[in-house]
Amino acid sequence: MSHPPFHRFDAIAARLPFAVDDYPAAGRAFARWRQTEDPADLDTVVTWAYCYTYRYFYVQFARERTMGPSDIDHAIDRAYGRVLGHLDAIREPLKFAHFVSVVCKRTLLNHRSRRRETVVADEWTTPPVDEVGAAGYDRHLVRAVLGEAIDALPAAIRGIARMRLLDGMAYEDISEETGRPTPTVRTYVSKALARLRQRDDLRALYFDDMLPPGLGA
Amino acid sequence: MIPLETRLDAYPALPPDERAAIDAAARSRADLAEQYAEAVAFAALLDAATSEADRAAQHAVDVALGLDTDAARDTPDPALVADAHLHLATLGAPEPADEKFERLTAGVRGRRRPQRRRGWRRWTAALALGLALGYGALWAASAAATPERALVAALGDLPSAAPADDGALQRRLDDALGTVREARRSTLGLFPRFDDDRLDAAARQLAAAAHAAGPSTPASQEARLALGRVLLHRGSDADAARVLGSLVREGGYRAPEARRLLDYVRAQGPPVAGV
Repeated sequence: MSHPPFHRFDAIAARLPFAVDDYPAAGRAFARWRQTEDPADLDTVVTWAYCYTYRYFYVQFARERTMGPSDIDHAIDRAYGRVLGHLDAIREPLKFAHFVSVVCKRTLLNHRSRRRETVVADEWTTPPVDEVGAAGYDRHLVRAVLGEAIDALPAAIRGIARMRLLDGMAYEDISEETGRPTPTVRTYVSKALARLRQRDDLRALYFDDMLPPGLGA
Repeated sequence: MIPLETRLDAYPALPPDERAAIDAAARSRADLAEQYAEAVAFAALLDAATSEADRAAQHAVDVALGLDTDAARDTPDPALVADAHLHLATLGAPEPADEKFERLTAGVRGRRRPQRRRGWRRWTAALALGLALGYGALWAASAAATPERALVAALGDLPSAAPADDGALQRRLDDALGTVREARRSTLGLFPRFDDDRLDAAARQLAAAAHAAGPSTPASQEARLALGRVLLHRGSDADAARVLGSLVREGGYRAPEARRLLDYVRAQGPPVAGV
């Protein structure tokens, strides 16, 4: 059940026929709506997009200390409005979750930028956003897409790629774990990176080329 | 020394100290700016996958929102989770989540995707289908209403031009064929009818052209075949048989077509003498 400040959010999420973090299911629901135009499918699509957007901004704002209640309210309204306004422009229906995440990320970065321009930050009381948080990625979605991409790697490099990129293990620890020399581990990770760079679903997350014109800025 | 280009390939998976060395080196390499930017963006994405602060924030938010997700079931660093909960409490929810949802989706839910555009396409397709079916029905009616003689003569299928070595002859032949075309009246190609006076004029022009072309030349064969069809259409079977018969006897390249028409003429009445 939702905690008091977020009352009844769980009731909205409960309308979904799948979990909020089931990104492939969201893509399939969106693709189905594109096919059927069934209002029930559209309900699923807009409900999931709302849950995702709401959740995304609370996660981002919960880890950075520079924003307040009015910021989060404005950011959610703006990002969700952009998503709803571009439902017909999404080119790859099955990557609906990617699209929504990129819209949220862009909205967050733009919001920060505008805020910097209008607010004189007090550097003594306002902790800076760390580098990871500054990028605005959705960790859970990134892990889901990255995990799928790693699973598709050749078996020889899959395990080492998982240890380094998903588990965050140091090269030396991987070397110890696998019994392979550290230079070999580094080479394997480099090979994995080269293959991962070719994945459209990953590139869609860090390059904003999924966005229709006008949404990127 | 490993080239910077190669080091940039590995950059996203490197620890912070090794990245810092590359950052410093890349600043002076404008030629690698694009590759460096890609590496930094990819690195940020990979960092997000292993961020403990994000992990704790995701867990705290999903628990607070009452979601049954992997993140809610996760067990991140309790201190980071406590910190995230604390900040979530200060953020609060200025507008109840459900009211916000209803406000933002008013006018969106229940609509049909690209209703206007798809509707327009559907109407256009239906209209095109209706027109095609209607035209098909009219075409069938037109074909049924056209006399068999006119169908066999097929004046609408006459060539628009015929070969001739001589320029003046070519013009005469083309003019004659043009007169046949001008004799035709129809609406959208349906229910064709021909002006008798113009057809008679065309017959005279074709006969003159055939005479001028000389026997057995391609121009003569074209002129006589067209003349035979005009005469057939006009019901001048004896004259049509005479003209078509001459083509059959010569055995030129138009003889088979002339034979087919002549067979039709014969089937319409008593045998034509001399053919």
